[in-house]
Amino acid sequence: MARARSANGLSRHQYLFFIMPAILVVLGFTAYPALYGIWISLTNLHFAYPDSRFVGLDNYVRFFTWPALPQVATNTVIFVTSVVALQLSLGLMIALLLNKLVFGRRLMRSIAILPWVIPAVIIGLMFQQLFSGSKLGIMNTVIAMFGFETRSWLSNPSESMAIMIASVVWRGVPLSIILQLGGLQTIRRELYEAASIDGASRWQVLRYITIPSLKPILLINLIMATSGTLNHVDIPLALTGGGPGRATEVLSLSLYNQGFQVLDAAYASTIATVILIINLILTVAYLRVLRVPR
Amino acid sequence: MTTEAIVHSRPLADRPRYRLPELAVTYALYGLLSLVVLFPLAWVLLGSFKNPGEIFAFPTTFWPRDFTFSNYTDVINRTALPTYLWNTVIVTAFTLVFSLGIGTVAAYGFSRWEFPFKDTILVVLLILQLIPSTVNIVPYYMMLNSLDLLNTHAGLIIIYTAGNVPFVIWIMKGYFDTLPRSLDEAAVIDGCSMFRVFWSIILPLSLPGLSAAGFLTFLSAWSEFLLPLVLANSREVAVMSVGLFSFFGTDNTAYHYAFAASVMSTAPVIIAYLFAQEYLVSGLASGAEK
Repeated sequence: MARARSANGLSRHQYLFFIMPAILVVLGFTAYPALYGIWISLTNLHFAYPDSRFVGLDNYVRFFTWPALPQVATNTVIFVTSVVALQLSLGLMIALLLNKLVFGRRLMRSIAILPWVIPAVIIGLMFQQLFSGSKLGIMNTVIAMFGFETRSWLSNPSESMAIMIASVVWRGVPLSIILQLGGLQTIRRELYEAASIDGASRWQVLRYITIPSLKPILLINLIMATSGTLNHVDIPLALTGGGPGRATEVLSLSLYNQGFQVLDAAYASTIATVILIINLILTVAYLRVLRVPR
Repeated sequence: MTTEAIVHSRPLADRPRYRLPELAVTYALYGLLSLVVLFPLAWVLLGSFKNPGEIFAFPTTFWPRDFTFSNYTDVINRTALPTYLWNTVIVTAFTLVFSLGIGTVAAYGFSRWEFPFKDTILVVLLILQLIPSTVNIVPYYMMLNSLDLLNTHAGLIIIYTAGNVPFVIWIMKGYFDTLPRSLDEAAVIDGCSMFRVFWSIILPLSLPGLSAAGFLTFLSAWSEFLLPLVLANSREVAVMSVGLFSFFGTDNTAYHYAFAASVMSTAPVIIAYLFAQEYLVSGLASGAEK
């Protein structure tokens, strides 16, 4: 305790000088804005008008009766569940692949993790050009080589959603690989040796040893991927901007559009608060459902 | 926080022997994975060396017919990209200095003193980190507006710093915890102040952790998109991501610049990644040990 420390010459309250700057900056620019945002959602603040006043839950009523909500909510659910499912499963498969002690695996690891460091806006613009609707898009050239008709990918609602999911997964899988590879390498080898002595099949090893041992890491990964995808704006904004129509408009994109295109700050804050609450519920729910046995 | 064991390669003698079919499948999958990752990147990189006539020609080529640097010289001389990149460098550099400065000092405090509510404060920091900047975007706008910091680099730097400090604390605290306290105590007995101990003894021993925390901060500050798009989007202060989005993404006539601009904007992070890789793995590893 503090008293014991001071006996060693470390003065008792000196820690305050060390930790206070960090605590102040984090409280001031993360916790305070979050609370301030909830307050804004209870007002009628609009970026085009100087004054605002308290309006209670009006914005929430507007949000839940918003005609576009069913489509945006559906898009968000499709987007988030597909991205998370793909990210976790591909991450696990690639981590298992990279966990084999074969020649070249360090190079392969570097390549596999590479998309993680590419700025999101560049990934959005890059996929936009790969799937460019004109003849200039390389994917059109590739499918033409196999005898298919060229197409305008991003003007088709379901194809743009698929491309948006693919590009977010392309960038997100490396994080799963990093996490799960770390998890895989902490599994005790004796478990595998015992299993092979008992004649367990590969599937049984995966099902009864690898996945249960990875459970805590998978859980962390699940939470990070879900909240990361739910809050993700960069790639959708750069890739499709929510279009065609509202076909790829997800909740986080509505937040940006309402706040900074429509300038309805209070409505944007309402959406933000809803997203914050969903984040919270998901995290708590995951922790309960997939409670990790200690 | 978890790449722990990547560093601990198993001894060679223990390596399992794989049979040929399994090896074949493994390398086939390696090839497929490399293709999926590298093909889009290679397309952009190679595109940056094509002359505009070839970029707009059909059928599309993958390998440039003749290599040219004209896109690079054009992007540097005729567009505002150098300004955007310079702005990005400034914002990233100051974010790095402040995040690492404030974060490591705090991590040292958390590592070396026992005080009431210490664990609670650490957990609260971790939870606050989970609040995404997307959700705070409107309040950030209002706050910077009242502080007169809209369209300034300072505004971005403060917000980025607040976003990065919590994980710097977590990584660095993990690292400091592995250094014995007797080091500090010996130095204090010799008459060093705690700040002096921290600066001249502890920090130099913590370079791997510092590199990992620094790389992650660098990566997020360099790539940040939504925050600068909303908070600092005028041409003079715009950072790389905003510049690329506003002035290339929506302008099809600048299509041939986009490749070279993307390459120039991504090169710094890729180079940093190649250098930081080893430090990154071992630094994150010690953070995981808690």
